[in-house]
Amino acid sequence: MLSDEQFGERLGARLRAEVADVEPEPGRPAALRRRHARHVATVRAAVIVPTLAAVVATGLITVGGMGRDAAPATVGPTKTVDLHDVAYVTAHVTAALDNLSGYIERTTTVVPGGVTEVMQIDRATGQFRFDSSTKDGPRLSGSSTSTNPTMVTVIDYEHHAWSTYRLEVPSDAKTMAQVTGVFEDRVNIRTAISGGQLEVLGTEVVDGHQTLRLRVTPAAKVTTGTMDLLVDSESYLPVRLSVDKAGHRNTLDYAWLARTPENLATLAVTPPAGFTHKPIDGPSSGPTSGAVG
Amino acid sequence: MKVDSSFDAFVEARFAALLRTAYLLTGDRQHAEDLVQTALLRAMRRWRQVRGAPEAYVRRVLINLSHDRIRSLVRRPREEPPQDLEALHGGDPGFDGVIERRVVTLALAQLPVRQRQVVVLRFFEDLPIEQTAELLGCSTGTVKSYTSRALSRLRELLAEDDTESLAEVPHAQ
Repeated sequence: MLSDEQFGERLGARLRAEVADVEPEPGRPAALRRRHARHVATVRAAVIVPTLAAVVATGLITVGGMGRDAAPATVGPTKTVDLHDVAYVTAHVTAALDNLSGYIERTTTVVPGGVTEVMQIDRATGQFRFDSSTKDGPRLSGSSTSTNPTMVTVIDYEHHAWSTYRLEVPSDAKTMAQVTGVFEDRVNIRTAISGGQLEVLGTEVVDGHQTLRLRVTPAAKVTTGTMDLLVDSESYLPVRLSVDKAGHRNTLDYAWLARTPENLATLAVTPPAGFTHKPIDGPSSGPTSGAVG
Repeated sequence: MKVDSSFDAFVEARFAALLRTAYLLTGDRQHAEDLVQTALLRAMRRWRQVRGAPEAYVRRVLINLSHDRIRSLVRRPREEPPQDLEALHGGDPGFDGVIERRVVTLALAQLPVRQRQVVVLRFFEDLPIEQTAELLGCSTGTVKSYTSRALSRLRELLAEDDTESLAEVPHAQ
């Protein structure tokens, strides 16, 4: 039997051969180069505009004092919140993240291109749902079963199609993060806090929630950027997370729903009438475990 | 207007290689094209900062983008087979070879995304454990753990295909 290293080397060689004929669509590299040329032209033109704007702005302030009286950003009502020390906050946030089994976690984010993504997971069973939409309507939705084996139904609104596949769940998997690679935010926050540095920056009201604003600087070996985390001042559950990722600032808004029958029922998706079922190539066998969260 | 040609040269030289990496990370050709384009556009906007080591930057963006929350939960329906498969290959013995050519790629696509990333970086890109860990934002121990699980699962998935056949690497075209 091959050692892992030998097996891996052969896999790599085989993969290189298998994808050797994967070539870019004709014109893609050329299109990028054209965009590059336009980008350079735009950047150079933009250098002139701020210079002019700075001159104009200076004039306004000098003459009329405008700008100093600009309306402050709208904020919600505030109430006094105790600012506990870092150790206290760290312990409570960590405990909150370790005890999510009573909730359905829902995160909402807007990704580049104006696509809104909503991810929901029942932390008690691992059942999840995802929805992707634009201002024009839904694009993709999907949900898993909470049964064993785990089946996932995906609805593709753009192609009026739906499909089902079996989710491969390694027998030693303990979290959905290990199975799907997503739903990892809890793990990432936990890791960043335990190995990095946490600061309590102050209090803030977000969508009616009195929150604590925290800044988490992960340990050097973790490449996740600095996290700005707003946690509910009473439950210490995340309300909003902003993190630098892939050169962009990603923001996730959290909601924590009670595991009521009504809320659990919303985790299931149903293909609309008239949509076509399409089969998917995927794992047909393999070890599975019970639900993970 | 004079344009920095080093970006263009990088795109020309590395687009195909990056596309292959993205394809293995995502298992989806169209998604891979989109990822490479997005990653290169980000590199373009930061070219002054990344031009010293653009591939490392683009690879990091690819890894992060391939971790797309929704896309990683979606499996693409397989292509509809031709109506008359027998007539199409007409008994050509090379036809079955074409169908089976991507057997390892298909097995790789069945792994959880983190395990897939580790296999691609370590064995397709030939990166050391330390660099793989840095790209994935985890410890070297975690990389080793993912590697072990991934290889174990791939051995299972490829068992029916006979693992020893991996020795028979087809020639790249």
